[in-house]
Amino acid sequence: MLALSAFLLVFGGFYYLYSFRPIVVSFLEGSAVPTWFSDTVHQLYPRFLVERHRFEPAFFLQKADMLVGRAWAIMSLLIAFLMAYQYFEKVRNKCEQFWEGEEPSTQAYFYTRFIYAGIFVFTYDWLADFEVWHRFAAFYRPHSFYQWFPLPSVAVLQAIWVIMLLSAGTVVWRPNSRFAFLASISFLFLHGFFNGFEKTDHGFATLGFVLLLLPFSSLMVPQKGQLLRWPFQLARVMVAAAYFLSGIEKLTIAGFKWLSPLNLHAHLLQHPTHLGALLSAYPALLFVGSLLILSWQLVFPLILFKEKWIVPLLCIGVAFHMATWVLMDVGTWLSPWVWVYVLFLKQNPFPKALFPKAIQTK
Amino acid sequence: MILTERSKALKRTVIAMAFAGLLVPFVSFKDIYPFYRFGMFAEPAYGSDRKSEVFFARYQVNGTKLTLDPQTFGMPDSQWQALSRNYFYRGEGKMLLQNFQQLQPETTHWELLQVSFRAGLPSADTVLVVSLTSK
Repeated sequence: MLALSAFLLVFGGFYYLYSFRPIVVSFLEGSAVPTWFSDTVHQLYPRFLVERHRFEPAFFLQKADMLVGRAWAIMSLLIAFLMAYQYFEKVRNKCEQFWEGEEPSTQAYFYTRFIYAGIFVFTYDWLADFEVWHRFAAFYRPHSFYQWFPLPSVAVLQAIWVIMLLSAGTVVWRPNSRFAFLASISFLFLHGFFNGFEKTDHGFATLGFVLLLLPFSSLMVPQKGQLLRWPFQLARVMVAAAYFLSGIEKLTIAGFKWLSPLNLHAHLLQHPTHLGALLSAYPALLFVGSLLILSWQLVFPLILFKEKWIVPLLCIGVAFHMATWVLMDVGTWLSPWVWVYVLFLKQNPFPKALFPKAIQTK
Repeated sequence: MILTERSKALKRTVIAMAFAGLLVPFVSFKDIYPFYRFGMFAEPAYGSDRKSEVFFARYQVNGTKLTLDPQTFGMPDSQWQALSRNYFYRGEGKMLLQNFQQLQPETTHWELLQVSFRAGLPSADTVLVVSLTSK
């Protein structure tokens, strides 16, 4: 089965190069192409309508090649991993250990309490925001599953907000509560509403991931009161992967051009601040900053395997998110991306009165 | 911790779906809410001609000319930039101004302006994109 998949992968690569790629070239040159093809492009890449005015056709051909290349690379890695998993016991043991190693319940309780307390910290002002954003109803362009529903009324949004806070409060009180699902889904629904105005807010991306996964820690547990470890590990993997993929995106789309001081300079001009303008006068600093950001994002997954890397990587992360706020006015001083760093801390760094010791299970 | 077979099946399913949620947007260059493509600031801020742009709007209230501060309407500046760019490239600049004008009916003479600059150069060009004179 795996050998067949590998064969199909090689065949798919050749098919793209010699049969499919010419259609892409025709589309970008404005020649006639099958309707299904242009429909698919607009469906998968709606920003093409905007971006085609900014970049040359060669840029998009490179992007199409990249799409196929990425799919090909991921499938290859998946097949390689499955082969290793099937034939090497050491790989199987390492995987088992990664997902199921020991993690004290007290620590799992602390993580859960802290993450769900974040819902209060980051959404306390949403109640007023619903009315403000409803004024912009003319700009509302619902995305994903929101397209199936009309614009939610302010009363509905406020009711969901109340349900979210009550559920989150229950989880902070009792971290193994099933209300975690309700709190997470309510949060994601409300945040999705804010994304419906033609701008995706990535500020809550990793917190959303974590909130999706943590509720599974209380499902089908061997002992009452216990929390499973794998949802926490998976949440850590997702956070690390978010940074890593962010670095890979920069490398594969802009290449080393991304490190050019001109690039960061242009970003600073698009998000003007006083400090950003000051920094723009020093190209060497812009280059060093860009290099540091890219390197940090690419090595971030080491945090999962090397304990001594945890503190430096997290400290750079805090500095990075503060810098995007100070220099570009992107996000706020307390980023939700930083809030989920708590999952990487090995010990509860807060006073025990704030996050009391949870019920210790055997 | 020993898991039951059902618990192991749930674990495998959730892990597979989480990785799919991470990788499908990465491959397809598209956010699939609540899963994201992490392409923030990945694309070069300027095109092959090293040109980039921002948008702003002007309007009048009782004869006084004002520059639009989107935050006075409760809209973050980054949201305004995203909206104005999208409306501009779709050729819907007038609709953008109409929508804002309806938010404050006492305003008149709306104008959408595009400021273009070349990366690395201090000067910029300002072009009037579209205007809306009727109240």
